[in-house]
Amino acid sequence: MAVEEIRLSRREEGALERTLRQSILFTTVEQVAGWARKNSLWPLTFGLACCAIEMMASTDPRHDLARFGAEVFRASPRQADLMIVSGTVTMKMAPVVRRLYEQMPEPKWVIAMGSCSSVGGPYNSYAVLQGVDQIIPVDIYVPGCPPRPEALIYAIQKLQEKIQQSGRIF
Amino acid sequence: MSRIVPLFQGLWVTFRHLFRRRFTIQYPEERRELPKRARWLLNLQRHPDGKERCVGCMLCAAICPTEAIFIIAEENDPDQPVSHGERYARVWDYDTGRCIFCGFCVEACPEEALIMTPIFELARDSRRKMILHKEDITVPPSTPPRHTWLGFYRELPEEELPVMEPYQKHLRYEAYLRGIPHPDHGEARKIEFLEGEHAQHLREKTS
Repeated sequence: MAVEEIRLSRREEGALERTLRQSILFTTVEQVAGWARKNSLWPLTFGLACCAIEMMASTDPRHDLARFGAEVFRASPRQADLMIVSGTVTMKMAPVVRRLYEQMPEPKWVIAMGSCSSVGGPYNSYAVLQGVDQIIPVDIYVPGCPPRPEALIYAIQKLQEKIQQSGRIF
Repeated sequence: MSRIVPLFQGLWVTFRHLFRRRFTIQYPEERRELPKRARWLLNLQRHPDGKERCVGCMLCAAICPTEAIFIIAEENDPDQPVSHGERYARVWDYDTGRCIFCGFCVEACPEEALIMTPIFELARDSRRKMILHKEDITVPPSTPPRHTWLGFYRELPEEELPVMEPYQKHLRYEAYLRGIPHPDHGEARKIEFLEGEHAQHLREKTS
């Protein structure tokens, strides 16, 4: 599957969702759902390059990602709801990244960790995807080569704010 | 019995760890002290009189391995110059997404306009927001000139940072990098950092 074929088009929200969003009852439920989701982010065990080392370091006892409920790295995309794209996404890997993303259940979020997955980084070449947002929607970008574990934790906190404010139930 | 004893041996190890010092850095509240030469977000400096140090020579953009810096230089207005040189950078855009924080731009800058700060919290929610402009990373005009020389020197007290001749600056820089005490300001860097034969050689050379 060529990369051009799998570029994402923005999904339109359904009419039911729009109607429900306007009701008072569901605004409260949205807040509870957002609170529950943001405090139980389960990332996908998924490392592509050197950034993955820093991702692993963020779960170690010194940084302890578990304090934010995001320590359970799942080995299956079916059980994960956060994809941390940590490393260079080559053209050969891009269809796999896309397939893994599609195998994750909704709701799901993506953090592009490091220069390479954010914008392509130093590898401005035909073999490297210039930013993983060309194939999957990215919520938070983390600059750095690689970012510190603290920088990743900061990104996860920003994502938690975003989840709380997004107000989606479905 | 042969099965129960190993169980309690293991539990004893767990129990001992209850009384150890806590290892976790509570990151948002508590921060690890970064190394003195931590290389993160770029910062554009000003002269003590408030004028910008950058003269728009584009050496940083030329040396940047990821083309993260984009500059449009313009001639200074003689009545209201922005910098001390002939030109200044009208546009100084900096893509933190591309930047790999190698510090080549800081080394290339002939005006010492650039330093690297230990600010690493750069996560943004869009690609556009990762591109910072000159206004975002230039220190405000009222800020006293703290970092007159390269960011490497920011641990020196301010009185140690007079207007220096270029060659002296070069000597200091060399001294700092090699850990050699410089006659101007005593020890540039603690020589105890280094170990082994090389450190011994340096100590003999400088004592």
